Amino acid sequence: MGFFIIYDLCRGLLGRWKRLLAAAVFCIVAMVYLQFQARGLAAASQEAADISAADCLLHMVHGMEPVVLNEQKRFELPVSYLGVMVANAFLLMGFLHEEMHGFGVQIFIRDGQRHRWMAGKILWNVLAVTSVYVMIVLFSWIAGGGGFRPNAVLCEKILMFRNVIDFEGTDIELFLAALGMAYLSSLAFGQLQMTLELIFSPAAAFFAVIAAAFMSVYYVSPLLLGNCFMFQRNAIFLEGGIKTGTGMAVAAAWIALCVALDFYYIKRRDIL
Amino acid sequence: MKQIIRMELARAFKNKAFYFALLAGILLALWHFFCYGMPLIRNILDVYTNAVGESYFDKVKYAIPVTQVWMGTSNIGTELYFFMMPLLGAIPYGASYCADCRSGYISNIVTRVSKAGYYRAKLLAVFLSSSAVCTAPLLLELILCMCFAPVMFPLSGSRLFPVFDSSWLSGLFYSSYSLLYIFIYLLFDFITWGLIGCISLAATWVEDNRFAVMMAPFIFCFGLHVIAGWIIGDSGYSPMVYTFFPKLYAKNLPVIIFELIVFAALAVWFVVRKRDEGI
Repeated sequence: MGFFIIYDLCRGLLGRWKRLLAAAVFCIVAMVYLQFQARGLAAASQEAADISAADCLLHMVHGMEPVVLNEQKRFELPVSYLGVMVANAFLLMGFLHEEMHGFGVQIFIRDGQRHRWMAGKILWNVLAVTSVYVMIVLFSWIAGGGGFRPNAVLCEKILMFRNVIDFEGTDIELFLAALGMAYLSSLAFGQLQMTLELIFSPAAAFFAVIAAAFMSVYYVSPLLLGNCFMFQRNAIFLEGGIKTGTGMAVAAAWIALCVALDFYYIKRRDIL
Repeated sequence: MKQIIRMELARAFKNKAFYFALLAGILLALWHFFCYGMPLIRNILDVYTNAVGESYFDKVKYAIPVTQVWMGTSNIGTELYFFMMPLLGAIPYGASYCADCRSGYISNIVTRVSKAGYYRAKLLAVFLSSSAVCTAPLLLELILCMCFAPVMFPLSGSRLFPVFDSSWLSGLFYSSYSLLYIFIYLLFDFITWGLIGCISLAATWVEDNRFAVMMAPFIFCFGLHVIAGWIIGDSGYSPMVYTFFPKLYAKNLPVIIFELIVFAALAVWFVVRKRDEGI
């Protein structure tokens, strides 16, 4: 099992350094954007716009408020939310397929244990998503200069996150809650992508995941995993929003279903 | 030359990936039609069944033109389609060059036809398949809307359309030649998405992974969207925005034309460099 982990880490993560670099570049651009916006806010309104790590993290995971699609209101793409989704999906895309049709088959046959190979891939999936979030937290920490207190003015004016102060916990709890929900949702998306890639193709899996993420923008529903990601749509901040427990349960259910399908499929697949 | 073009076009249009991408696009178009178009069309039925409005004046006032229902000129629910198109356009044939190199097909084919002919045929096939996948669902939905909604000329004072004075060719849209506007719209999108699909060929210079090459147009367009929105501060420069023609503003036209020239240059550069390269 250890061999699989090291192999997947080297080939699946370090070997895909260009994709990790693309995700890192996106995080850096996001932080720079927030810095410029905060300075502009401070200059325009004379209000303090000190950024904290919580602001930077919320910038990445806050999503957007529910879309009211009518002819008068302008719709803007939630770039940070879609960026994190695309970064994760792009990092995960294609590795399982390459392994199933390439060198991985050799390892597969020699080891003789299909479920160990599959478990290794699931673990790789978790490590890949975790690496993206480690980058997000790291860049948030660097850009925010430490500190977990969100700036309510900045959140309202720039992130359009009007009621961040409604959270009834400590600042660090807010940080962890926002991060935790997004991370769990991304794990579920990653697992779903891996399952679809195993059964159909990498392109179809990528398309399905990105389409599902985009549909979550239009519809507020716990079954659409993107809503669990978007902290702004949590029931704490939005009436009729996604409860934390419900969101976590749905994400866990998706992960469990996908893992079960993976093991079922790989056990019956004709690898030759 | 004709033979290789015919072969490449057959490979591009007669494969499962093309059907999948086309089906996905059609489903997105149908989703918009049934979620946002149908409720508007039902208003017309309500008028004629006297559910709303009693006078002839009310009937005239409540008519819904095709341009209000169609996804290309509707105010709502259009973003998903234009966001996903760079992805869908490259799926049918974007990674074919990588696949040909890996399988050795290219070594066989260039002994039978000229390298330049092969690369030109490849470029044409990628361009046409990408354009077809992206534009056909729009056209299909237009025809579907025309089956249900009247072809009335849009009223500029109604504020029901996303076409403003600052939009390019807005005068044409709000005239009796709105169908010409739609024709120019579809032609522009046909060319733009075809050129965006060709980015996958240019991406073979930096990446040999088939799927990364296939995703290159989408990643490139998304990167442009991030730069346009966050760095420049005007998302109107993003292909994911201006391919929705009402958001193609006249002031952005020079930059957009420059972008299209860059896309075309990347595609031509692929042909020129690969033609001179050894296999």
